[in-house]
Amino acid sequence: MLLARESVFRSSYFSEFFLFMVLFLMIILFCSFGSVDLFSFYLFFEGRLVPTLFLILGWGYQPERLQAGIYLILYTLFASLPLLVGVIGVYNSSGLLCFFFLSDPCLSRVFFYFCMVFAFLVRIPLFLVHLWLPKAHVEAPISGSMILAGVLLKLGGYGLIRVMVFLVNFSFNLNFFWISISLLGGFLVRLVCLRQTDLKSLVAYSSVAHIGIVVCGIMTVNYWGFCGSYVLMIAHGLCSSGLFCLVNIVYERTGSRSLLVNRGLMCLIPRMSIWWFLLRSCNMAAPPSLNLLGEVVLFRSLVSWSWLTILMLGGLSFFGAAYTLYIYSYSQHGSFYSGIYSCSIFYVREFLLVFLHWFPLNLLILFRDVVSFWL
Amino acid sequence: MFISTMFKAVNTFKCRKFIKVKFVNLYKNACFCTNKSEVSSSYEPPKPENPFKRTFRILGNDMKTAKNKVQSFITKVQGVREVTNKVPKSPYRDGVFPEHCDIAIIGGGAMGSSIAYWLKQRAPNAITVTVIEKDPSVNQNIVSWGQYVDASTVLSVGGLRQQFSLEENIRMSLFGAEFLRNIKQHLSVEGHDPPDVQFTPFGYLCLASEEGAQQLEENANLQKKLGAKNELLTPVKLKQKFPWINTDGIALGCHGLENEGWFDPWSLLYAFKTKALSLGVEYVDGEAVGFEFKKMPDMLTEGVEPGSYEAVEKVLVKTESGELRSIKFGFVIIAAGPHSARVAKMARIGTGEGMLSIPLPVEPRKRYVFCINCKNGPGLNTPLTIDPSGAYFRREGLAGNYICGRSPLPEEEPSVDNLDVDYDFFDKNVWPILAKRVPAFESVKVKSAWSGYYEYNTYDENGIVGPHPYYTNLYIATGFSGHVIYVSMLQEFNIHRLLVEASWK
Repeated sequence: MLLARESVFRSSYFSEFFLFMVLFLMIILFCSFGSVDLFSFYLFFEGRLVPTLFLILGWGYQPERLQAGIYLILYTLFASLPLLVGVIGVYNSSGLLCFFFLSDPCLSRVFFYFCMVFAFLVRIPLFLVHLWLPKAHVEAPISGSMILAGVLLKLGGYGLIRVMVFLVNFSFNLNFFWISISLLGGFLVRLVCLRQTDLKSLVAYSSVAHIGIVVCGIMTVNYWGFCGSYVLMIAHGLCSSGLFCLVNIVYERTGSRSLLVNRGLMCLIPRMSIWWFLLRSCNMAAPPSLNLLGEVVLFRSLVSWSWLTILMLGGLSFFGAAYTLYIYSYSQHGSFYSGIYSCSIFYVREFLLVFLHWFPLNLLILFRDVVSFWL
Repeated sequence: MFISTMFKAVNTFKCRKFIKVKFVNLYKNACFCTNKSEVSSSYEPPKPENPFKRTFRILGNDMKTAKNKVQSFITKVQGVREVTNKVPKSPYRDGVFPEHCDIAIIGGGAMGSSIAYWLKQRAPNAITVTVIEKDPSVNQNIVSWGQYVDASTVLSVGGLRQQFSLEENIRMSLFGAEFLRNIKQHLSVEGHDPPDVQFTPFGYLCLASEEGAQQLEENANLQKKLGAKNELLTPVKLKQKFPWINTDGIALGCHGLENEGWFDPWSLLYAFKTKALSLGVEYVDGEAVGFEFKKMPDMLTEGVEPGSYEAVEKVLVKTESGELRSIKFGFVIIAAGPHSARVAKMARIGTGEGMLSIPLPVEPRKRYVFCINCKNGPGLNTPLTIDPSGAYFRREGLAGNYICGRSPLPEEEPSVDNLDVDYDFFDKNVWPILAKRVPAFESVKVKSAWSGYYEYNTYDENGIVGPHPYYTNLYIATGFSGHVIYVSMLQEFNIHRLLVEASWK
């Protein structure tokens, strides 16, 4: 699941510390995904907060403006404290914490259900508790954003999948709540995307939008849902992270993240527009991308759960495509402001970076069975 | 290699010094800044903060603001009436020095403020605009006399006319007149009084002698074609209309009937500034002392050797307290009036090679303005009269005061070191001409005088607006000499259209 993410090391200041921070974060993430025990998972889940905080606040653009730090801490920390309570509750009732043996429903109270689920829902941002995400993303430096979007969000999803197995009792009765919030929220967030003017915050909101469907899929607690959300998580990680990469490439050239300023990029960086197009088309789940596979599977699982979801899903898809195309055409097409004399050929490093993001997205769909039915 | 670095960083503290040394070299290679040309010391870019310290500092600040918010909420709920100002209000929006912005405008006079206004007005939330002005208003809410002491905007006479020979100038001033008439709609801010620029539309009267009559007639026809309303007057008609005039040596006069007159430039600037502030523009009180550059070897520019392009990335600002900060921008607009050439030089315009070797041809020229009092002078119906020799006067207020002045001949240009007034200039150059033109001015008393800088464009005496050919992110909006007041209203419109629609009128 942790595909190789090329973090971009600019010649920024304190590059050695930066490197160290990123590596530290990587190790923690690796451990968290590889942990077999619920408690060690919790430990690493919390532990990743520290290097993330340092990455965002230490190297970020201007975190004071949006109070990204406070939001990050308050939201994720306080939401995951109940998770500890839930973990201890599980231990009490079943005597062990190893994932493999926790398949039977073992919690007897709804309270524990909420405890366990809520932490992950904040992390994989559910619509109503998603506020920390745009703030953190906008102010984070590029590799921070990429790691945040690519991997950290998936921690929440991964946790949900793990945990849902033994929370099945309550999920059948209560999951409709989360599903309806997600669906509605996804729709609203896509509308918000259409109004964004900051490129980075736009990609952040589109992250929230995609993850909305993922949450729905997990919450339906059927096999197709799990598979679909798994696939979509991988795809979204690659796609969002690639988009952040692109936005950063543009930011390095023009010095500004505003959509109003970054126009006509086809004139400025012609070679980049192919990547914009490819990654954007993956974002809106155009074939033949991995996002498409994930979304198709998820749609199927959601519709089988309740046919009423068709209404929201239709709106969701439409507006998803709408904002994606809007952003693509607004940023790439049109006339460029003043650099009529200049254009940029970008570096091989950036080319490689974006290529590595795109490559699995469009090619893994050929290995559909390997990817999606791994569970 | 990564692991070894990690071990070093974790295990030994001595390596911090080593890292610092390495980092300094790394940073210096990536960018360097220019020297300030007047003072021979060079300005080093401010060192970036240690990320760990920065993290803790930011967290601390966030906690403090959160605590303040909670406290103020509690006091409000409790109904506590006393006003406690424990936290000093920071001069910056959000309490933080703006280190990043989309568009930085150097110069906050009429030009800069109106550029900021027009840019923000187009898209209030889409871009962040920062204006760097070295001559600030300390508190934006108080109107006091000590501010903007040196700025040319407020020292100008504040005239608006369409009587130009260049089509663009005529169009610009027509737009300016229309803007001024509707200024209450454009520039009102909620909670403040609507702006009042006291536009007195008495027109301009341009007089021409025999040599200039032909040119004046051509100009008048061009203006009429473009929509200005003016009237050509023979000496006889002149005498009829304006009995106070002495028409010796005058062959033709052109009187603007509509959309011409004068106004108070300070109120206009103030209106622009308050409106810009209300739209979210950040004003920084500081002086731009240098630029930081960034090597971009991947940029291919026409006329530049591939691989050698360097863009301006940050502007170094020396704040009031003397500290040096840098502001990273996406675009910079040089609207610094008479000092534009100096600012441009900081960006290597004029000292570089190739396209950068041509300096900005704007230099400050000192002009005097005198306020005189005459008991029996021309009455209420007096336009701003310009003599063929270049001397001008206009009525000021209702108590018999007049403002007059004259552009000195090229050989008489006063030095621009200071803003001292040379009263001999009035006695020798201005008064004789005025006295000849208007007999009532034989007996006048000089009440006061001041001087200001023109931003004189030595190339063709018109404005320079547009992007610099070398830099993709540097714009210039200056050089309008006496016309800056109303031109400012239009050409930033052009600038933002440049940025937004890439169309040049």
